[in-house]
Amino acid sequence: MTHLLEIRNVSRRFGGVQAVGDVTAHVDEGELVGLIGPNGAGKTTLFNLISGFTPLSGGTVAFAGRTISGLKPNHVARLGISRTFQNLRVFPNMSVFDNVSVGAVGALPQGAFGALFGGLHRRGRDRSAEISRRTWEALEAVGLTHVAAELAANLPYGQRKYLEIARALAMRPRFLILDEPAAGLNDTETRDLAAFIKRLHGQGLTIMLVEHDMTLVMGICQRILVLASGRKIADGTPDAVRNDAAVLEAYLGVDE
Amino acid sequence: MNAFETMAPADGLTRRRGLLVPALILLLVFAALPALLAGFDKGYFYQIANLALIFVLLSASMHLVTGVAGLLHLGHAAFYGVGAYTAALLTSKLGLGFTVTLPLSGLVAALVAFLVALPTMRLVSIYFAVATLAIGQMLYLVMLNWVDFTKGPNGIIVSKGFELFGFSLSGRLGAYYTVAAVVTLSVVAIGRLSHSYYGNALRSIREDDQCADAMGVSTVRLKMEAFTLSAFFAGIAGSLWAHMTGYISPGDFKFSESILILAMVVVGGLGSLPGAIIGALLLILLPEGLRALGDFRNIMVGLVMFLSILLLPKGLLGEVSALRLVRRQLGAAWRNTGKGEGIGWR
Repeated sequence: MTHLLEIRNVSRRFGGVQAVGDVTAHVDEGELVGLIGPNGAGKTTLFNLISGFTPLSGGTVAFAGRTISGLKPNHVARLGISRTFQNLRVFPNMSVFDNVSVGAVGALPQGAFGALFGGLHRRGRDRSAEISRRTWEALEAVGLTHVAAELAANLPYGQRKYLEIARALAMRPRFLILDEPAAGLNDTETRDLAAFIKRLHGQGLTIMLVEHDMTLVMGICQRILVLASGRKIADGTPDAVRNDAAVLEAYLGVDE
Repeated sequence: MNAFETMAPADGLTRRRGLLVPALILLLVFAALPALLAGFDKGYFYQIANLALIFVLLSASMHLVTGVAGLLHLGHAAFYGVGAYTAALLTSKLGLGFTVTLPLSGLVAALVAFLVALPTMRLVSIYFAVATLAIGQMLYLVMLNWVDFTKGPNGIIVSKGFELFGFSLSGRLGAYYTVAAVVTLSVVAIGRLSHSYYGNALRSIREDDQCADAMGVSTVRLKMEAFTLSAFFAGIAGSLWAHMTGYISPGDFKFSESILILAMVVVGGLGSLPGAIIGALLLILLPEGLRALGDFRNIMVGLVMFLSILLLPKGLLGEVSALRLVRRQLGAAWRNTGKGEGIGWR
């Protein structure tokens, strides 16, 4: 059986720095996988390599049996990989509804012709209605329907995090990548977020998440990948990873 | 709040815009104003009204590319010129009438925009702005120096006024109605483009183009489309101008005109179509109204622009602060993408 996401011998150099070196990993359909590692381990770089933001220096990435390395981010996104960003990137001068609609229209494009004449024929109207439906559904999933008309910049930080997730969900992705979703959230908010991610996973979405918050990752992920200095040093269940000697060494340093 | 009128679910947020305001505007443009103009019966007033309408269209078309898609365009007047020259040359060399030159002016301007956009669309931020400046200057210099074809600084006399399928629309009122009808239709089309999910995709590029890319928006393609479409409407405006004045010369399309159109969009508010229209009316009618001040009037206009930037960073009705947009573009120019790629490209 082929894996949903297959990363083979992937590497990336920035000048003299090996950000990611020879990483091989996979994610299966329906999994909830965590990606952890000390600062500078290459977690975000690996995400950027998967989503097409950063070109690979070596190796291949395949999604649903198709090689996606070398494709532009928007192409990768339309194939069903959706992501959020570490440093929270919403569209500040657009309403919450319009923010989320970008995810929907990205996956289900409306062209200039559709915008001009879409109201005149059935296909165009159906397309608009479907985009609107997906947008509302995503807003409902994160509980932001009541602020749909609000400007994104006016939302409090926690709600903007959910807005970013809603925008990713509006694309109806097959695979969702969350880059440090709990960063900047307090304990209660993090617990709520954990429950929310579990619920998404329960609905059949394949998720990969990068996180610093160990309790969050250990609590909800079925499998955990550990990166250190750009290399994969462990891959297993939370319990196995917790007791792995290489992982302890990477996080705590060697006692010499 | 742009896509709300097209939303299907019947909940509290569904907002069908009232028909009252558009109806009042149509009444003003097509009944009250012509009645007023006919009452005064001075060619000068017709001229001002037509000029204002043409600049409304220019400002609205720039709204699409700069206000919505966030591309700082410094050469818009050149595409206005391409449209005007297309109309003038088709008329003087082939004897074609307005019915034919109007769509062709738009198409030729769009084609030129498409061709020059091909190599420039991957430029980001301020580099793109400089490229559009260069494109504008290039086109202007072609109009000025290709004397055999464009008659250079002497300009071209456009011998034919407005007509529709051979039916003459000349005469002051006929010309006014033609300009008003074409501008209204074009502005409605631009409104549909910017107040749609397509418009939202364009806005997302203005807000954060990398992030838009990750959402599946083909940023380069959409930028091309916005640029080309805005040139199309500028070309339409050019055709109106050529047939209205009966004489065009390169001076009508120089850099300062591009800046004037940009100022209209900024004063009205980036990202707002009503803002772009109000900005155009303000910057055309204000200098005319201030004629009594003599040479001071241009200083007054400059002051209005200066104060509006200072006191109303988002213009009258804008979505984005113009200063912030420019600052971010300058910032992006020097921000290393960290991808080992050349700065200024994406």
